[in-house]
Amino acid sequence: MSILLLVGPLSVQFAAHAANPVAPNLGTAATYSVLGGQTVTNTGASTLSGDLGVNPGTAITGFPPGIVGGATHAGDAPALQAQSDLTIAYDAARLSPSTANVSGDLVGRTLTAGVYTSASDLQLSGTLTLDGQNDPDAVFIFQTTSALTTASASNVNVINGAQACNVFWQVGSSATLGTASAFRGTIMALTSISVQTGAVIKGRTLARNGQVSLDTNTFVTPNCGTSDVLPTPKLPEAPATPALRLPIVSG
Amino acid sequence: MPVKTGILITAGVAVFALGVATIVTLANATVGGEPVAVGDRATPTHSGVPTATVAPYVAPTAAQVAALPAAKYDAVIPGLMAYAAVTTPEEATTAYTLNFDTAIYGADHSEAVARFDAINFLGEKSVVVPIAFSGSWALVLTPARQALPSATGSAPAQTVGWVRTERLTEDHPLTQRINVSVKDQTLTIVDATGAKTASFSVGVGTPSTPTPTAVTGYIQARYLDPAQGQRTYPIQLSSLHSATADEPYGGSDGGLIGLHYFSASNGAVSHGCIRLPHEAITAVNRLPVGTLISITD
Repeated sequence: MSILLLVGPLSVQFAAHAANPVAPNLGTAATYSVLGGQTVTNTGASTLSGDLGVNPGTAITGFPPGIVGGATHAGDAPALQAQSDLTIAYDAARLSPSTANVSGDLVGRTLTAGVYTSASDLQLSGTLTLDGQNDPDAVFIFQTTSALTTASASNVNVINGAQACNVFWQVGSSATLGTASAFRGTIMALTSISVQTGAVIKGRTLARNGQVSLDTNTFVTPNCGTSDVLPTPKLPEAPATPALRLPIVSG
Repeated sequence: MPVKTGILITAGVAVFALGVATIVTLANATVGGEPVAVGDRATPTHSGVPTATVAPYVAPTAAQVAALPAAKYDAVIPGLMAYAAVTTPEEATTAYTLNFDTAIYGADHSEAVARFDAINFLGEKSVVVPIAFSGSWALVLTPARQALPSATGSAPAQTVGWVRTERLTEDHPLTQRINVSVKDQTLTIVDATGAKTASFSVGVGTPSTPTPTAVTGYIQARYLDPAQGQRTYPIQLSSLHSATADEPYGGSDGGLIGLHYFSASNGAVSHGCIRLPHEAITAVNRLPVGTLISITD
């Protein structure tokens, strides 16, 4: 009886402080802000602090006006290598032992380090908080066999030492980041990734087989140990209304 | 494409349609160059002689109205009628707005010659000032020209045209008006009885770029425009135009006569505009858009 009483509380303690997962090794894909399988398209003044690449496809459009802080690899050997490394990292994330199951909308949740598994679509309609519990190496892995969709103005927030460099989203189909959302972590999607207007990402969008589409986005490379401040998501300004032509009187 | 309501000549019918047969008379005024009397509406005549009857009015379609030239401040539309008067049109007591873009007709109400846009260049409701009514028709002042002075040597400073009354929405009363004396270089604000409420010395046009006289227009809009040096006191854009030059100040806006602030606001100094000191422009700015402006020698 006394043993059972002891084991119960320990089990709860274990769930709250699960062993820190092992971060998947991105290899050469780590230097990319955006990596696509077939194409990468961009509209507007997107800014990528890291590399841009596509493989096996070769089409990259919208740069400029988009700006690439690193190198651009359109169907070349480095992009091929990055895709290969992405596949390894994707599988590593997919096979990471699950800490807990999640489903549906993650809004309002505060999660500690762990591997969170969903057998269906994952959504985020508001703020998800990732709590590092004062461990800068706290790793967060999200696994979904289906899609990841975040809503407009949604936010993945980090507290207590958690860092975007240690957040990974393994997506079994496609991901969509909503308009003017603030997202942290590296998305590794099997198919495609759509980043809607004005969204800012401290992380990466890496698509294995399909397209990555961008629209006036800001990508900040999630280097560990750096400030976790994200630019404020901002929608592009509407085209200026032509100045009102006022009648000129005779004076 | 002119829009015709259609006129039928019917022999032996001696009755004018009420309203269309009405003669609008404007004392001391001319419309279209012909003297007319003011205020009274003639009793329908029963002369017994063959005369004309007018077919029932058929409203133009929106597409037909849209195809008409806009009677805007910089437009020149020959079908509009010239208007010259310096006494108060008795029926000009109310300013209206338009519920739709509206066709403007010429003298016989049969042909639409222009369009009065419901929204003006500022994106505001256009203010319309009728100076006379005839049945279902209102004779309104328009912001457009009828002709360019360069074509004829001189041109009407003000135009009018007929619109259907059902297109008008009553907006606000006009209880004061502005009188400008070019000779005295004064601007006077008077109330509905003609009593002076304020008077100011103002600047007027030079002899070579004169302010038009013997005419009445109205304040069609007001706006600040730093490009014209008016950051504090809104320009009061009248419906009047220079009668002697297409563009006495250059440009292409139609020789517009404005009432505006100017630090040196005395004498015959302007290109036709009325230059006002700050107390005068402040007083004028308090008057509603649509306020009539009569200018005399």
